[in-house]
Amino acid sequence: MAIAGIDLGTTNSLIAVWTADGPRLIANALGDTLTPSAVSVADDGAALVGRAAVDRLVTHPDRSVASFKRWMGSDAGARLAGRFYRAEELSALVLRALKEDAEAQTGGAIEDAVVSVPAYFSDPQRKATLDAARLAGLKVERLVNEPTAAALAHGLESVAEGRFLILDLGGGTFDVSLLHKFEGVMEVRASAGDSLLGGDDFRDALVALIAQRHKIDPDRLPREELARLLREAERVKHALSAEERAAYDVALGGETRAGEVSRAEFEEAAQPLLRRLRAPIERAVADSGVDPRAIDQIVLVGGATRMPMARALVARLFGRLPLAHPRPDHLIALGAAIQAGLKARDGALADVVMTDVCPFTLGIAVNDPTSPERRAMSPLIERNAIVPISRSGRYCTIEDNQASITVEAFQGENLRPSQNVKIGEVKVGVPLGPAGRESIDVRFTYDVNGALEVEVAVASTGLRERRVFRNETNLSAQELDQRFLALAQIKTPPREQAENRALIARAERLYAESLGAQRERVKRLLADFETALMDQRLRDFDGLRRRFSEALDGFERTWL
Amino acid sequence: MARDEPTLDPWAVLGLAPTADEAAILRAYAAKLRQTRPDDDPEGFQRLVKARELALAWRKAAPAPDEDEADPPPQSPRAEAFGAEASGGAIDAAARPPPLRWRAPRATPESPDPALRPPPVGAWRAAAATGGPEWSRDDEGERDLAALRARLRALAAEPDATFRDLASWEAILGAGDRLGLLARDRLRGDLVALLADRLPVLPADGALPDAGLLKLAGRLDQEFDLARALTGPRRAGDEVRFARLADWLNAFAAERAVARRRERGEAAYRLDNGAPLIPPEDRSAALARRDLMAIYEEVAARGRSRWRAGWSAAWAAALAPAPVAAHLDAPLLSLLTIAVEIVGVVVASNALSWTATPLASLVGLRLAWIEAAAGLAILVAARLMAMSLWPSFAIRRAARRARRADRAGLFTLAARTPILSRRFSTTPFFALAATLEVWADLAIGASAAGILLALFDARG
Repeated sequence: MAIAGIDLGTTNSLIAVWTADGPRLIANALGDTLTPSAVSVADDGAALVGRAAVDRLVTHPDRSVASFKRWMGSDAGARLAGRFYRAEELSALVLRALKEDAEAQTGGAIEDAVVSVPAYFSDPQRKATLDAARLAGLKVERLVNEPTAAALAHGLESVAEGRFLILDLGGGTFDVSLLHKFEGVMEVRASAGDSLLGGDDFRDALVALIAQRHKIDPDRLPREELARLLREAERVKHALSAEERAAYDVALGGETRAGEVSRAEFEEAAQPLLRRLRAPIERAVADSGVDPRAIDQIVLVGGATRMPMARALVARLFGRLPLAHPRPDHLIALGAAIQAGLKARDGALADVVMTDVCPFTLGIAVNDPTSPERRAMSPLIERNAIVPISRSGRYCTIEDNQASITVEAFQGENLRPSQNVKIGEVKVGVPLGPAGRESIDVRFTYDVNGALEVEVAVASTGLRERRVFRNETNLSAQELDQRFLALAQIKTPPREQAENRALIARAERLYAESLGAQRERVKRLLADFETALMDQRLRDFDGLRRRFSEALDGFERTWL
Repeated sequence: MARDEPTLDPWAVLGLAPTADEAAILRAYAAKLRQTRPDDDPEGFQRLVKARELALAWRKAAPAPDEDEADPPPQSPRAEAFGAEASGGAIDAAARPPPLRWRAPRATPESPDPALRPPPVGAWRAAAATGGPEWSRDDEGERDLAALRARLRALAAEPDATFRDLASWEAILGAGDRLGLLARDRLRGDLVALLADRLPVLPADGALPDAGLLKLAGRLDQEFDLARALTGPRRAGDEVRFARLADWLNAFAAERAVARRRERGEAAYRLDNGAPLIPPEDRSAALARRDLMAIYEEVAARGRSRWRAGWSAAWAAALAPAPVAAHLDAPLLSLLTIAVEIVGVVVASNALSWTATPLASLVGLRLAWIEAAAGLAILVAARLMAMSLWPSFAIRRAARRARRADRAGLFTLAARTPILSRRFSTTPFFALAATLEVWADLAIGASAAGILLALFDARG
């Protein structure tokens, strides 16, 4: 039984398995390896995932949703066709679709998976990912950090040893990792990232630019029109990677807004985002202790690194041109599959050892009378320490006759605990006495699976309290079961129908986007297609689909 | 203040004779790693990593015969005062250990033998900041950087008004995009040192700090990611100064977040695609009476922790209504209670004046008795009133504030408690209410005692 590697992305998700010839990507029913992370509820209650759902974002915005990875770990969700879906559930639907694709291709059941998460995902966000997998009926063998996965895939691909800086700008997240490959060891020296920065943000900058030009408030637009505007902005963003100028036209509020955006204007609008790209790069390089000039290769991964401004920024920072990976969208899934192979102790990987780091600082809150907040972080495990790691520190009481000490564990880089993410707390009782007499030893142990164990020992009494955080869930077991059953009842359409559904959704989207005579022609084509599908005598479904798809191509504005 | 692990001999763990050859250390590490994989043997793996770290640190500290001028001294980027230029050579010589003596470092704080401790993470950055010759050879934009640093030095000498004016920072802010990684690092080190010296301590009561400086710190942070320099290695003396700068950066981030939400108004509760970030149900639930009560109970308990915990706010309000109401942000109720209690004091002290007349008849005394009892009754009534009214006073006020915040787009779950529980405990009003109430209690108590004494006198 194979362990699958899954890249659960903001924009696209992929699944790969480890085979005898290395990691292999698995295509979905439409023949694409990229399955868009979008979900749409059809009129018959079935959940459509992927390309069809993306098209339905335009035609049925009240029934479709995308980019929900950003809500992981929060209570945010979307209301589709009257039912509220948490981000975990939406992700579970995507995972389920990927799982079915992989099962159809490999012919065996897939129950275990390695799922990738952005390095900067906090504890609740990681838990939410675990919940999503559980809801999809998958057991997660390990959560692997996305930059680590990308580094692993690139490291295995490249024959040479050396130091590689891998920059992964995806749809919703930005990750950086520095990999040192020597003697068959793949050592992640440092990783950093911004889990709220990606191609979507660049698109939104473009939306704001267009909206400002036509004096529209995107927040006030009806959902259909907003979806159209987003889609058009996405298209313009892609076009601007290849050309200096790109034209747009989009029907909003009954009139067509048209114009042209130049690359310079786009770069100006995206300046604040570009600034945010710098911080994780600088952090990763500094933490790794590697002289930037000693880096052998700078590799760009992720769809959004196709933007010339991202490349230019990296070139300016390092004073040389980065290497654009030929398959920027696939690397993370491949890395996850390699991790799965490592986990399964595959013979071909017997000689490869991978070591990872903990990408964030873990510490506890201590008293700090000098600050307005009165508290400060005391780091125990500094970020980018090689995992597994165990560190301890000694702390004492701050008040006379203090009866107990509460150890609050935090994750984050800020000096002030309120700006960091709280993981949990452990409380121990201490004997009464003057301030500072009683002390405790706090030991943090962070393992390869990302579970944090906090052990608190009172020095004088030897009393011990232990707690392990993570590998639990955000939802209660009961709630999880309930949602699992509810999700199990939502059908996904049979695989053989997936292609038809996707084509129909695409035609509907083209209908919504176009006007006048063109619109009528799309409508007629769609009607013809649907009648032909009903025809019992028809045998050549593939030919019919191909002809319909080609006819639709004529109406499509090119993406790239 | 993470304490290090017990002593271990790195060369024994690595199975290697002491060597300064980095490749040999890595080779030995890689070979041992296959026997102690992190998944199988976490403890052994940690020992191995530690051993490699120590071996590499020793290699760095010892002069390597086969390499030219090796590595920079383990010195913090902030070690030099702002503006002072590097004097790398002298430190180099002092920090270099005697080459032939090796013992495993005892990493307890009592034996800080600088020669034997591994250099701090990011030591190359230290070198970048001190500007040693090793690092300045081919750094891009070197001349540019020199001009910028000169500009910074000039700014350091400027008076406050010029210093906080964004216009005088234009050259530096505009350079953020042009500089390479190393040059940015050096400029950042200078900036952090300068700001840590120039920024005053933030006001502790949460009042808004100086807007001009706040904006300046924020802009510099956007351009140079100052926060990163703050989390790096540092010397003991730097803690306080850097904590001050960190607070400024946090204040700026909070300010910006609030401004952004305010700008969007209620739209701030939704994501761009219209999905709710905080569902309306959650927001209205937060305004429910029970929820507010709970928050006030908690606030009251926190305020009383000095004498006794576990009292509900209502009982506390009965015991000391005016200060508790003031504490719970119900100043109107506090004033009302104090007014009623003063009436009680006036009534009761009038009774005292009755007893003071030596020739008071029995009728007179009875009147005095009634008046003293009325004073006491008013006192009790004031307390019962405060006890029963505090929720409606405090909660109505909090609900109003929450609604206002809600309309402005500021009502998040994290901000809920601060929005609902604004307290006056530190204001003079709280102290005044407490004082007045103590006096009212004393006056009424004294008159009641006076009456009793007079009664005994009359009997006797």
